[in-house]
Amino acid sequence: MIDNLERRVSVWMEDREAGTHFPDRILAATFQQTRALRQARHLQRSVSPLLRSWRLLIAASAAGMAVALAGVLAGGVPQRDPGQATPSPTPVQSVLTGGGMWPQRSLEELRAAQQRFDAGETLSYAWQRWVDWGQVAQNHPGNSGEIFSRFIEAVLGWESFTWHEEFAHRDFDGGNVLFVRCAVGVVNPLYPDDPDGGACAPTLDALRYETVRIHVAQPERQDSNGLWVVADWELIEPAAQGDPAVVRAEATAQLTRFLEARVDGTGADGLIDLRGGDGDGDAIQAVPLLYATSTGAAYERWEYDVVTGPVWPNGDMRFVVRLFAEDGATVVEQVLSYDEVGADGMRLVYDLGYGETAPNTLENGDFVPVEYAYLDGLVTFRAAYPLGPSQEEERTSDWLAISGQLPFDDAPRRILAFMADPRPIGPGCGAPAPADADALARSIAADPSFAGAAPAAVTIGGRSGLQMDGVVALRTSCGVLLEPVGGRARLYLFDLPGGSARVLGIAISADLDSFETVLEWAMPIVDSIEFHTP
Amino acid sequence: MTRALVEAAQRGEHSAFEALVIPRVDRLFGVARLILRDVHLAEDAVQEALIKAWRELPKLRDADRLDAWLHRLLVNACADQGRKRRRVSTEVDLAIVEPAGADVTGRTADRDQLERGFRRLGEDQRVAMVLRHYAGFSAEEIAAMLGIPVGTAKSRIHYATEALRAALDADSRASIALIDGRTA
Repeated sequence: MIDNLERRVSVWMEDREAGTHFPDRILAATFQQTRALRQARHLQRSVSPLLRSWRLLIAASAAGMAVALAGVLAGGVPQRDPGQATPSPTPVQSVLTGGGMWPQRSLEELRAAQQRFDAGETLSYAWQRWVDWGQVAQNHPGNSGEIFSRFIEAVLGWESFTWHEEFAHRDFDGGNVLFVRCAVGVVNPLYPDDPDGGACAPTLDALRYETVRIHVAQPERQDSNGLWVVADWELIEPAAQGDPAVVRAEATAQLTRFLEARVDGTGADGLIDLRGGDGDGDAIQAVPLLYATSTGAAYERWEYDVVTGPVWPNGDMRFVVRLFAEDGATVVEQVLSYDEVGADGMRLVYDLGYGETAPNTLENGDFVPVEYAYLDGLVTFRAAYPLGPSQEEERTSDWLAISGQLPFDDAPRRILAFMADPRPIGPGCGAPAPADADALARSIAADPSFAGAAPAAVTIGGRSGLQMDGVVALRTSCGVLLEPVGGRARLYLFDLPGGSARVLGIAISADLDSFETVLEWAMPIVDSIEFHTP
Repeated sequence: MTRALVEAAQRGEHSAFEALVIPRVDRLFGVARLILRDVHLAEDAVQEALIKAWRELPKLRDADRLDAWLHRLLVNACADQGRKRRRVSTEVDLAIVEPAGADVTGRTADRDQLERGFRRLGEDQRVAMVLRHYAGFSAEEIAAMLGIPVGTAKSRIHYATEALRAALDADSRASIALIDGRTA
């Protein structure tokens, strides 16, 4: 029984974060950055005569542009005069559509600037050092926004602009960052309350934004003291926001069709996209309990709640759907998204979850076991949250661990491991994998690393195999995965009927104290194993 | 006082910005830690939010809404950091977790149980719970902060609470089963 949960949560959070202190060095570094950063101007801020003259320059012919702009830039970055106010203009589309290096205009200029910087003239160029390549390489400005904001304000004359993840990626190489221009002094009429998009109304029409690709690089010196420049830039195909009314209507129509098909018992699978890995050891690519509950009861009715959205810029939405069966005695609840799916545009999406992340399907409040495929579908099994396959980088081509944080643990632990063609224990790293389960069992039984009973026959998933229980006597660095030394282990060994592996090994091992409990969590996974023909 | 500092900072007085940030930054850091469950990502999120706050401060129309506005920037920065974490596929939890020790008093057990339950929540649910129960914002304020309808904010808090309750119930059942298993 849980009493007054909200109060408990509040007390726990306060206790947990009591004494939390933001590191002084990071705060100092943050202030160092903000001191050097110019503030964005207020939405209503006016445009100076100088800026208007830039706009004239921008509107000039391309032939005269380089010379004129060079003349302006030769005097440094112009400062705007807030004292000479004029009303904010209607957004003006830029006429320049691209250009080369900035603020230095050639490698010779950059080299000279680098030399001055190296000689101690650091203040003038400090902002050209502040580029976070880790972010920029992923097409994100990160905390290195100043080179971009200086460029956009100085060269494009955009008073208001923004970067957004949904606009960020268009198959440009690392170092290219995309920004969209926001109309000045205008609240975005389609997303007036959106925290990101409310202050960024489109500039071209009701939906489209002028969009610039800015490529930054260190053409002269590629180290932490090398100066960064805008290597090149161009105005590109405009990014567009989704009309929330349209998106909502399309999303709910798709969702309704999908839910009705599920109640009808046919045609639902073509109405939804799946998100999540589809590699070996990942979840089977299917919406769980698509047409029926886990006991096979058909759905009778459905309902949904909008959880979020439409969210700027695409109008992404998130829904919680509930499907009822057996006169409402069974309720299946799932989280679905309406989201952009590559070139297919906005689609209904089910997130399969990944590894130890919580799956998106509950039945009467309990997590529904997820079905996974291993060895190209030769073996399937089910695991319920909090258990699931380890993250991709923790897998090998012949090993898949199932792990998760058990209720009594402070950290995730491995519950069991699937092994394809395991090698013998001990010094078997270079040894070939035994040809069948019997041969592997003999080698294990003969090895001092594992002290246990003789192999016993076992049947799982309709397939006969061998079971070996014992104690781990020596640490093994390769071959059959067993740990810790002194712990207990259970092995299952099966011959496979063709396919990419000949033998499947399953190892469950833990320290003496927790082995029985780990076994309790592991056995439902073992019992769910099914073998399939290649 | 806050209003005067905000207005000064909006005019570009960095010392005023520092005076606004320093008394708030530890609390913001706590919010980020709870949402992201990763100290280093939380540091990055706070830094990103503060840099954005400085740049965008002139756009803040109502100085009285400074705290809500800062939290909004922080939540967005946390989302950015969360995306970054997902992109590089590292789900390593670097949150400080006290090891289970001999102290199995009610408070410690309760704390551990809540820690586990909280980890099971999705990021949206964690955000709702943290803003409501740690930062102390109302559903209306959270709605404005996240750009969602008030009803959605309320339902998000409700579902987060229910999800946590379900996780704790499951935890309790598992613990009881474990104890039974050990004593059998």
